[in-house]
Amino acid sequence: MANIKRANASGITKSGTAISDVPDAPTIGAVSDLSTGDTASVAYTAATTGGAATTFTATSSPGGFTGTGSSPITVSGLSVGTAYTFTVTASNSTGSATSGASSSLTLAAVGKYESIASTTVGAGGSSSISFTSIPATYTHLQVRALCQTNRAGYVIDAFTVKFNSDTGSNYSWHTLYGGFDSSPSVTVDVGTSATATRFYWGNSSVSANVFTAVVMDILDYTNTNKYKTIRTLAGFDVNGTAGTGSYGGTVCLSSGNWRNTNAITSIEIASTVSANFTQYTQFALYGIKGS
Amino acid sequence: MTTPTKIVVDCSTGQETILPLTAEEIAQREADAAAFAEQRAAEEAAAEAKAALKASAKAKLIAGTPLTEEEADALVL
Repeated sequence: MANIKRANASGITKSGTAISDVPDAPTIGAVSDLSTGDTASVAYTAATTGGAATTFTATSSPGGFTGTGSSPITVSGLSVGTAYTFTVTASNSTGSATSGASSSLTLAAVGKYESIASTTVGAGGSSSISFTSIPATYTHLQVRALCQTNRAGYVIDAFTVKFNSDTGSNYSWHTLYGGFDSSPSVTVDVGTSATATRFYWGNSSVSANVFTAVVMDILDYTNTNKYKTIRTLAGFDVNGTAGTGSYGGTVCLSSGNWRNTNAITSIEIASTVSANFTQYTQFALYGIKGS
Repeated sequence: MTTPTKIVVDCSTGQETILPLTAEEIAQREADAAAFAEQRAAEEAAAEAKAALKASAKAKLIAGTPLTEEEADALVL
């Protein structure tokens, strides 16, 4: 199409009908992953010169997937793992103009676990592990741990979990855990209005430094319209010489609650019985995107 | 006695810091431990009492003698 340039403020008149000037090219802005596995957001700034655009269209390369609307435009149909750039075209009945290309964007797989931070306890041991300044860019969090403590000769041990340094009585939990004493047993434990939520790693009348494995999910952690739910699976190895029985390792299923609507920005995990996490204990924090 | 420490990992920088617990944190830690031990002792006492009731109920059932309400509860609740 011919590029018709401005003749006056109203455009060119042809047989009594005003012909709009061609829009000038918009300026491409930021592009971002909308965490659905197939959509991206494309921002632009319309030109303040040239004719008025009636439509703005964002187009991907490769693929030619498009979306229209005002900034930011959502482009659908994309694929995970492909590097895309985007342009935005301003158009009206007279013509169109296209921006330069955006920076490259590769969509992440929905549900993919992304490492945020991790730590390994050194030779001196540590009473607690805290993750602070947790980014708000995920949907859920997961803590994974393989740990030991120096607690021995006690029949039960547990972790406490606090969020955002809240020491108020705003936590609860309910737990089901199986032990391995003279006969296998299952115990239910419930706590309310506590100063931390809690989960057990099981009965332990064995020596210190047994290995405990923990997976803890912290759901919808940035949602400011609800309390926060934590669910945990934990258990430990009995080193083949446990207590008075030989019933294998223990297991604990737990669900906790933090009665606070603030987004979670920090997590503190500690042993309930003044034990220290010993050397080589590892904690890792992961983020999960997608709804 | 060595002062307990805590590990703080700043997720925005990846920086890891080892800090000694403050006197307040140590006191809180000891209070938490004491409360936990008290709760566990109470739970264990309750479990032992229930086990005793069940044993008593079993003996009475075998002997054909009436159970108390507590013994019946121990069997069915």
